[in-house]
Amino acid sequence: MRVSRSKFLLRLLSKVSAGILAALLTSNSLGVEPVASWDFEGGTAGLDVVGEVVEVQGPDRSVSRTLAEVGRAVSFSGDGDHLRVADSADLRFDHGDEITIECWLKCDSRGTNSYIIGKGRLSTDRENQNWALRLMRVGGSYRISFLFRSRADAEHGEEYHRWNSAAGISTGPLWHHVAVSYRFGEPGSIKAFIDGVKSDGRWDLGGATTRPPVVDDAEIWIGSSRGGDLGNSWRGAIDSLAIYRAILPDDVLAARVDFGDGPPAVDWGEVTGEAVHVEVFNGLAGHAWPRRVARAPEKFQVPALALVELPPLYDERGGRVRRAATMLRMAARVCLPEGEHRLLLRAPSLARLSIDGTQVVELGAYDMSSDAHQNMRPQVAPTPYPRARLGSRDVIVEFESGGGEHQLVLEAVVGRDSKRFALGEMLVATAPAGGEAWKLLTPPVASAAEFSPLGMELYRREQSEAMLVLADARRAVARLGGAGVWEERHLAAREFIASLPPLSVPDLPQGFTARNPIDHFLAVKIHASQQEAVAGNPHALLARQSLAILEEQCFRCHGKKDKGELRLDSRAAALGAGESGELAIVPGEPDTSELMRRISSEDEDERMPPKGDGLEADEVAKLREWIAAGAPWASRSSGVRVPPALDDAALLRRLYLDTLGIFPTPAEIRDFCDDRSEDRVQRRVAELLDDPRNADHWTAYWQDVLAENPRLVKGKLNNTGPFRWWINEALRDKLPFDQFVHELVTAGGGDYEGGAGGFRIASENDAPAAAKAHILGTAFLGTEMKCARCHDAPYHRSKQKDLFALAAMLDGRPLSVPDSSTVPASFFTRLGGRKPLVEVTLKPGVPVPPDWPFEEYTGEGAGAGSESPRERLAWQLTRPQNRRFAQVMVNRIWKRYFGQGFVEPVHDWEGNEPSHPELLDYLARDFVANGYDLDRLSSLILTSDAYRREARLQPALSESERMFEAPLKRRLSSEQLVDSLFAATGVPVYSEELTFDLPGTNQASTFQNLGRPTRAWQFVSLASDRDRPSLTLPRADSIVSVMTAFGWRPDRSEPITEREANATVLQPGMLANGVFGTWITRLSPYSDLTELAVMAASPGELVDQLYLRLLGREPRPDERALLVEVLAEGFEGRLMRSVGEYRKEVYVPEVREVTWSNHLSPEANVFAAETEKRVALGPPVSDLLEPGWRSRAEDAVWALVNSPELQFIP
Amino acid sequence: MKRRTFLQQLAGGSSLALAPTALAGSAGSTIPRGKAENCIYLWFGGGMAQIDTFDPKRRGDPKGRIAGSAYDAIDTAVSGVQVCEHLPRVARRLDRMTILRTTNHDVIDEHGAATNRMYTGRKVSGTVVYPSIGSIVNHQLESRAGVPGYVLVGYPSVSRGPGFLGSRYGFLYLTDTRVGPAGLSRPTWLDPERAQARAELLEKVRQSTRERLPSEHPLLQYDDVIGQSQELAAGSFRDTFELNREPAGLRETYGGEFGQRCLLARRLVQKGVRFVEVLHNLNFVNGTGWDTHNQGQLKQHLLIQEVDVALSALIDDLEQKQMLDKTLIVLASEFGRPAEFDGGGGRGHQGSAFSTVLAGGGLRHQGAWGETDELSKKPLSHPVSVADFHATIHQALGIDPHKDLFDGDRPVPITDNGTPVAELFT
Repeated sequence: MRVSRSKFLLRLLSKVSAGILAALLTSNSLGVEPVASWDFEGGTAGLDVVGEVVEVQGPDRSVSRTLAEVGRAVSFSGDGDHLRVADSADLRFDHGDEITIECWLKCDSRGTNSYIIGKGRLSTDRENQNWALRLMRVGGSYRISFLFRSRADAEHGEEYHRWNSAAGISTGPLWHHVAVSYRFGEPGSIKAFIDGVKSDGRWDLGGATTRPPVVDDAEIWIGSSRGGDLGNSWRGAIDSLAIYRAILPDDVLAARVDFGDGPPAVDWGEVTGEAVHVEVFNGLAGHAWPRRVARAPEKFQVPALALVELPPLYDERGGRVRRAATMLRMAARVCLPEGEHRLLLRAPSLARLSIDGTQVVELGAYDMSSDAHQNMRPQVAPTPYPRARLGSRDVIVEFESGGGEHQLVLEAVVGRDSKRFALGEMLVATAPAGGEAWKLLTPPVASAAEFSPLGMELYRREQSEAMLVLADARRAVARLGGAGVWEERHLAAREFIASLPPLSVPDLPQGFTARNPIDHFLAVKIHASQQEAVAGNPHALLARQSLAILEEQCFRCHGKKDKGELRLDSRAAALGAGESGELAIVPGEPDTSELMRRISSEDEDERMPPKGDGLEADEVAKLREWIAAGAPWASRSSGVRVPPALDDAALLRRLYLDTLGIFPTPAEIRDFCDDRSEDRVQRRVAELLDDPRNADHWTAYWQDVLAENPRLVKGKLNNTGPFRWWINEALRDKLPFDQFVHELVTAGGGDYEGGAGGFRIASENDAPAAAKAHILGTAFLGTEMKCARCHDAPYHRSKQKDLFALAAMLDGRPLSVPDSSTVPASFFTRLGGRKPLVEVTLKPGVPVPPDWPFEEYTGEGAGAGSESPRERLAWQLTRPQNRRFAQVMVNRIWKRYFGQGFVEPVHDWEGNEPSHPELLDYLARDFVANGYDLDRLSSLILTSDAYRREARLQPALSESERMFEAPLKRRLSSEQLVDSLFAATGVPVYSEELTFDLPGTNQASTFQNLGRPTRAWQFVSLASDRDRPSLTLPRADSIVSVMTAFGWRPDRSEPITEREANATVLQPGMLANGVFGTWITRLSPYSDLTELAVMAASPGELVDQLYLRLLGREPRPDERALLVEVLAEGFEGRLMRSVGEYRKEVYVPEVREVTWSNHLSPEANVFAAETEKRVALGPPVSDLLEPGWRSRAEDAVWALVNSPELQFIP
Repeated sequence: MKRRTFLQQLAGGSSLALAPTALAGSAGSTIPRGKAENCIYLWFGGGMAQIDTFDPKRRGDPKGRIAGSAYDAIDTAVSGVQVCEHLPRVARRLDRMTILRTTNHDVIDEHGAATNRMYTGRKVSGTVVYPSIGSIVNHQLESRAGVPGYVLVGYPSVSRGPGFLGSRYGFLYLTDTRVGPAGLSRPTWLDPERAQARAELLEKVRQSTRERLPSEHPLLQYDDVIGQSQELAAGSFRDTFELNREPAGLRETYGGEFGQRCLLARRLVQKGVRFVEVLHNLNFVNGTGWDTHNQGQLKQHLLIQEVDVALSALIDDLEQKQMLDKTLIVLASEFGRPAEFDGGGGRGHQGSAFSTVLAGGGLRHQGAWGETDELSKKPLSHPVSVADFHATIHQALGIDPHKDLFDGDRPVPITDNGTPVAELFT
């Protein structure tokens, strides 16, 4: 909104905005006043808003002393939302005119050239930029960018001229003041101020010019340009935006900002004598002691002056975001006895320690090179305290204490815009003069932690757990904000379901048992199959087998889809002729049946089915026999037997594996078996679903389905950010599943920091949004659009345009097929007149606007018009009218628990019918009506009678055969196997920290650090593609290689639901022979099995315990006898020392010496090769046990770990 | 409609515009299939400088930063063909080899991406994960009883993976010739008696399980696989890794660790493994391996000499055992390096022309094939694309380079319209 000067001043005076007033008075005193300005004190009232621009708190006196006590600003989402301002003569700038644009802003942007304000260039086909102030992203820094287009003259065409400042601002919570001035026609007149400091810069594109700008009657937009293009849209807040027809003097612009005296002093009132008070000031302007910090730091407490981990930083929606340059401050009241002390300060870079207000020691800035050709640090004589992690440094000073309490303040600056944030180690330790008993400094009441390798490891674990709690709490607060919206949506969803024609639960047939409606639906189909008169049909078996082949091999095209005008899914249709005119099946005459000719043809152009090598010989023979017998039709599933219930221990193991992904402990098994109450399964299921480890179990599933695919080194095809952290946290937080999908599609968070934003990355892909649309289709709509990427699919209805319209919704702008992924026209001309099987209906380069292509699932209608395309996509995917979404989700969850879905395959429903349409509908309605609650759905399934039965041994071949009389016998997944074995033995997850760049010398986009894993889903491909010994993580590799053998994918460049299920020789091999197996089966000081072996009263008791832990049951007598025989010999004399000396040891990882920056040095390779050899030996053995007996006990454990039974879910 | 033909053409579609003469199936069919049965694939990760090895040009000077070869050239057994002075043994055997001097692609900036191109023979696609050449060979050539089809001596990576063919066509790998393949080698700390005792105990546990289960129980299939795995780890396949069974004199002729890997490759091929891949980038005698930036150039000759010893020993050994005609030796790396020197006296990356080498395999060898310009920057004649390079290897192994593999429904020809170098087959 433009206001005249008097009105503007009036408004200013009527609001409490003294700062702006002061600033304006300064300019007024020079006779310079804005021709347009916006203070947003009324939010967006009276402004022409397009999209969503919201009112937020503005910068105030805590930011700069020039500002008012309180004030309002506006915030833009970055989705193309903007404010429109009408053209006026005052806002047209021509040759010789002077312009200054200034504002306060808070940058949250992702766009590469985000518009703050600009005149003209409002659509992608208009090149009429009179002037614009933008921010241009360079790495993690946002530079002031001034842009205009010059007029054509006799010598030149029109050109863009852009000036970028050398200095920039970073994203984060800090408000910045920016200003730019220019006199058109004088390129040297340009200048920019950032926070009152003048910055250099340079012209690019068309370069510096004396030519005049284009001037026309175009509107002015604030916050976006070019039709709302995402890359040109501002995400963040703006305040006090003003435009002048003058170049404001330097001293005026410098005086706009007065940050005062730097960060606020420690408030000692907040510092108790019992813990260390930590403050984290985010979003520093650079890697230097700050002139100022954001007003509200993160605050928490730690027990000692040692910080080795920070909680993730979250945005306002609970998504992880990047930490950039940050100031950390730890304050504590510490008692130091009278006398001389040595103090060791360890920190990654800039750091200083002051005691009682006096600085006693500091460390200067430290920037390890990212170049890989550095040397290893010298291998020094061991110190009495642990060596610093690479990237952190030590300095030791003497300090004399007069005794009593001292006030210690440790401050450090960590992080750089151009690099991944790496805290390293920040701590103060002390030892008495002359002594070597180093301890971490702690406030008096807390017990002093040893500054030893073990002490630090224990401290690290404790801090890690504390940070997890802190993180959970912070997300809970962040997510409260949007909770109301979801409650309303779920209420509406419930009403929608209530409005549908009712679906009743069928009566239970005679002789069946039921625990909930699921059992009713299942029993009806089982009952029908049992009623069928199998005996009456002499060819029933043959018919069932033959129809199974047809159903599996042919129905996909020759079922509902009647390719070639032929259907084979009913006898009447199958006896007819297709397009060719030949009869497919002539009963009794296989040799005249076209079907036989086509399935037996040697000609690849004729043979059916058209893919692969055709049917197996025995399948062809079976169909021949069947046609010869007259092609009898029969239901394929007669007389299904209902298996008995599992015993309690087995049921509990199944439940644990299906919810937590690990075996139950012996105590848990005993508790459950002893519990005779009616509702014990319901109660146990509720507890298990509530356990945070349930999120761990499901994270792995969604990593596969959503193709989460980060890498430790530079991205390759379809690498994503590590949005595993978002998945896990969303599941921990029990997000309703519609909200889960909504966040996945719309939420930001840091691309490489673990936010949902990482989902939208696809490195090396020429159309990332299309790749993601493909994933959304398979994951949530059961719609496979893989082929549509390049051409319309021969087997699917979805067109290229559908995929790209969906992709355009995700990207928030029109998208076109890239040249690099289409079928070239030359290909079709080669076909001559023949009709192609596939078609290219979308020419490369033709833009497809955002549009929802699946009204068949949702009916017509969409969200409110003001929402961004992404919001509309999220809404369409999850709104209750999209019945497909809920059904696909139910089908996915069902398959997880029963081993097969109602519809198979779960990601590609086209042409595949559900086996239980009513039950699927029933569960989907229940899911929607109850707030898309996955736990409720899981609980229904897990407490059904059917789930509790002994497993079915072989998968049902077809939908008509699927009865779900019991879950299918399933193998453990890689994650279940690895997690269970770690849990059952108490062996620590001994992996290295998952990174090749310990000190953080590179950007997160090229070098990730995924931390020290505690669960299998946290692993990642360790490939560096460089074949260098120095770039190996042998401990992690020993776990990853087991997981890979068992079906885990180191590369998830494609979404999948079902992993390869074949048993391969590498599976038992890796487990039997690898380092992982050594760790799991060795009686080391780190294993709980060592304690069992030490404490056991008899060999028999030990055998019982091992069976319970590893196989979840008591041994049978013969099994017991077998192992007792092995363990009895030498049992009595097995202890080398007394039982009282037993204690489980804590595994302390080595301090790593090799990282990216030194990995090319020959010593690094030698060092790494030696490490690898050492790792191959496994952990040490317990010295408490006599070696001969210990070996035999380990062999017994090994035999159980490698037994086939352990590989299966009961 | 001829569906098959259509789909074949479609899958190769993206490169049709570039190779207008190569309609699927037409070019390869006139060339006789090769008769090689195995392949030993030597991988020089990092990017071997062709101008310092197999495609020597006029002398340059690293210190003076004058473009050209770093070493002198010497004559070879093939008249008119020279190699660098550090390859004297290879030079004498060049009549059994062909240097493809005009191998080229357009990926230069990143090792991982170029490696992927060389292993899969294709540009990355957003929709298909392509198998490596080793996995394709493993898929196409029937594996022999009791031995795996594809063994990798070096580090695993996705580029070497089976892609859409599925894990059964992936590799077994080992990083230490003394240890044997990961997963199928007993731990080094486990003595044979104890290994035996363990195996017997496991067999008893398995047996008691087997006895209780119905025959259709899926657990029995897994049990069966445990048996096969135990057999591989303990049986005659395991012996293949015991290099000390070879005469000491022969072991010596192969030289250091890389040579020992080559010797192991020969033993594996002899045992029946179809595709053995050996990485030569293990002990970094020059600091950087073949990625000879900066000072990496200084001791590059040591790498080259190592290759000279090992490769010539391998050729002689195979020849002596009458295996050379059945065994195709391939030498490849992700790209070559330019004639110019960088500021540190080393070389950057160059994909526009570099050398790969074929030896043995029953081919009609040419010594060298294709010619590059005066500083080995661009092909002047007979350019060999990565697809052609792959097609030549497949053709030599009797595999039709145009045959379709299937990624689900989608036909994917074995090579991206590659044409074998016909002159090697007639």
